[in-house]
Amino acid sequence: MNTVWAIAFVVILELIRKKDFYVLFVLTALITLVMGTVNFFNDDNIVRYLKEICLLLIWISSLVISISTAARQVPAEKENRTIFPLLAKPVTRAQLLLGKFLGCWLACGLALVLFYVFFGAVAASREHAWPVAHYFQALVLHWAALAVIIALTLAGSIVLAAPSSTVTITFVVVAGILYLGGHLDKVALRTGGVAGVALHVIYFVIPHLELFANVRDLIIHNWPLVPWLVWFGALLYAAVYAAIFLLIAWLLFRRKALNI
Amino acid sequence: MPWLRLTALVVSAFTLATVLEPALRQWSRRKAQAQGVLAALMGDSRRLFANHLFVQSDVYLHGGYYPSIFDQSERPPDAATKPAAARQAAPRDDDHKRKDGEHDEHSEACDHDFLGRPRNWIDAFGRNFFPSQHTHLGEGKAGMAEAREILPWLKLSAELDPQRVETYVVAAYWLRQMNKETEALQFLREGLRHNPDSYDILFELGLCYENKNESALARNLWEISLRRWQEQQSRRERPDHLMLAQLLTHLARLEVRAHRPDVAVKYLETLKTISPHPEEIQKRIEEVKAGQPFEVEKKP
Amino acid sequence: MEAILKIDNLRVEYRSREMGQGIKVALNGLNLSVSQGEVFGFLGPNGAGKTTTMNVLLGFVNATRGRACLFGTDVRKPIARQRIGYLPELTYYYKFLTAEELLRFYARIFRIPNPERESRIDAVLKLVELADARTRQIKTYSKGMQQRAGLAQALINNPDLLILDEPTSGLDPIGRMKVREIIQRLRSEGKTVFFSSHELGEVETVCDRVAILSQGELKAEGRVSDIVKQHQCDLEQAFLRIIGYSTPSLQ
Repeated sequence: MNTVWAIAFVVILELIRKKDFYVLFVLTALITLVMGTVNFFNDDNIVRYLKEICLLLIWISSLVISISTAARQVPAEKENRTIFPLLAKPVTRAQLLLGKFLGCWLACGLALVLFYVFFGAVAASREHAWPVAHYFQALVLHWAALAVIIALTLAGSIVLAAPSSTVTITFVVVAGILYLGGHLDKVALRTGGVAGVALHVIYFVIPHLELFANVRDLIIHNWPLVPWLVWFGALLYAAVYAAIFLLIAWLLFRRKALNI
Repeated sequence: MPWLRLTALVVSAFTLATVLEPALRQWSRRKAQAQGVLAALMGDSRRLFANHLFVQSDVYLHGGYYPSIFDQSERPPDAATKPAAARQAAPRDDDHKRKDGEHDEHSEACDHDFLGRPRNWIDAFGRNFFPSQHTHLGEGKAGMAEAREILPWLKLSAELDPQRVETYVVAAYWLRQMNKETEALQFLREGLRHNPDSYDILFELGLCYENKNESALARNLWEISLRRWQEQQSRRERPDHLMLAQLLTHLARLEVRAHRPDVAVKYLETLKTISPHPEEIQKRIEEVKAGQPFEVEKKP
Repeated sequence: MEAILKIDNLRVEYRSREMGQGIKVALNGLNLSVSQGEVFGFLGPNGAGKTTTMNVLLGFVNATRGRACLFGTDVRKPIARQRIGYLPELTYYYKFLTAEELLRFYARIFRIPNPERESRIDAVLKLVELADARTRQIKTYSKGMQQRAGLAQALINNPDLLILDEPTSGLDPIGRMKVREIIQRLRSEGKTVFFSSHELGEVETVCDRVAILSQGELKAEGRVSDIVKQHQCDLEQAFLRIIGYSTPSLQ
């Protein structure tokens, strides 16, 4: 595990030292603050639109950070040939993948904490309340969804050579799941036939990331907490999918030639 | 020789500038009048966005509990296309409206039931993660003030598509519910600038003035609204009788209050011709003739 | 003497990506043994199979047949690489890290305990003369400094076997001299060094034994002095004869 943590730490350092995160955070903060200054019918207590915009930007930013960071990890190791001195040490490919995953995930977690603190501050400035338990639930669920997305991206980056292809395809897949994932069974019922069966299979196979993203609405509209047991179940659900994607990534990577 | 060339170049540049400048000014002025910055940037796609934002206001009215496009395709056509915020904001005080109200209840029932029974374990599990109970803003402890949350989307929708009359009317309705007549008036005037012939906006403006006890102004606006309606709708195959009924009812009530029952009866007679329940209107006419008070809210 | 590095009948085949090219044999029946404390030069023209051999030893490439062991452990097991240091031909490191951070990273991989880790980092940075630049990011280093940083990472675990892939390539004369000095110092400390190079003069200076590879096969192996004596010429000419390159001057 020491090796995995060491690799993860380098990934975190990389994210801290690159500008991507700062640019996205500043952009999110700027757009939110500008939207916050807009006067809607002289009412200073309107807050939900601001929460919606801020959370949407946080989700977009987190997707950009997680997918772009995870997509370039293994290809960049190969392209910069840093993988050779690394694998020349007592490091297995499984440890390398696990370290990369953990690094991306922890780095995204750190970024999320900062984003959610900002979100909390924005909401509190108007609502004068800190529903910490709600924010905690939303943050952890968001982070769990990112675990699945990062694992999926890592698996994609083993198959696809160019990080740009991985980024694009993963974005399309994730956006597709977020937007359509929960409705595929309805479409399947209406479609019928072979296509309907195929859609049903896809519905039951894909990770339903929309569950995690939908929590935004509970936060925006001040709905009660998700029951803790259900919340924990969602974390397990994400953990299973992340593990499956990591396993696929490892199976693809373990025998893959390193293009020496 | 180079000086000669330079002079020729400067002279031709000035000549070209004097020829092009007026045409350019005229073009840019026309452009500025016709379209705002958003229109120039987004073209007609702004109308799509405006519609999305308008629907968003309805999502907010329901505290996020809202059918997706996949759920909407399984609902009756009108329930699917007309947001509840707009339905709620639509007039409710005459026979036509009562009919519409009945339809509203049906649509609301559709909204309420759009989730149905869980289709599978993912669906059942997923319902814990989004608002899955029917609700309306204003029903909570915060009261009608909570409805303020729908306003930004209406404002933004109007920014994107100033020609969409419904946005101004719905926003004004909710502003009036929150006792923000001044803001409602301001917003309606803005709408009127973009849609000077809109009888809907004129009617809504009249309602605002009536709320402010400025009956003369209200009457004036409703009369103009009635004229606009006649200009635009009377020759249509399927005129907007719902709006006309609204106007006639409100005008009749004002006239009764102003102790001019004859004028009120005249409006009610017209109303009788378009009402699906003329006998109810006839009863009302007789009440007015007998000198009984006339309240719009009173159910016939 | 104990064989630290042992290769038995090693064969490596690559499946060619080009249509109709079939299988390419990179190494064929290679046998090699390097004892403790030796500085072993691995020579051969481009494409001879030197890098493939190193890649097998480092676990990057799997052998089609045969076996390679480091310290008696099969190279396919990661633990076989616990006591080795590897310096690639070109510097491939995380350029956003400082030399200190890079060494700390690799030290953690080798599970060097914390107090020892820091003293080890100090020692290797001093050895490769990067102590003053230790807190600068590697991307700000010159090529020579980067190569020395590479050498430092190869030494961080105090390895018993160093595998160096053309360690002086691309360095200026001073840089080469420094690398040579470090190799000789390691030899004096009883370390085993296995390195490939095209610089035959350098090999002659520092190596105890050499192996000459051509077209995936071992053509010669032995002490430098023995090879020179056997061919009655200098190492460069002997090398050219062994690999089958003939020029009028050689004839």
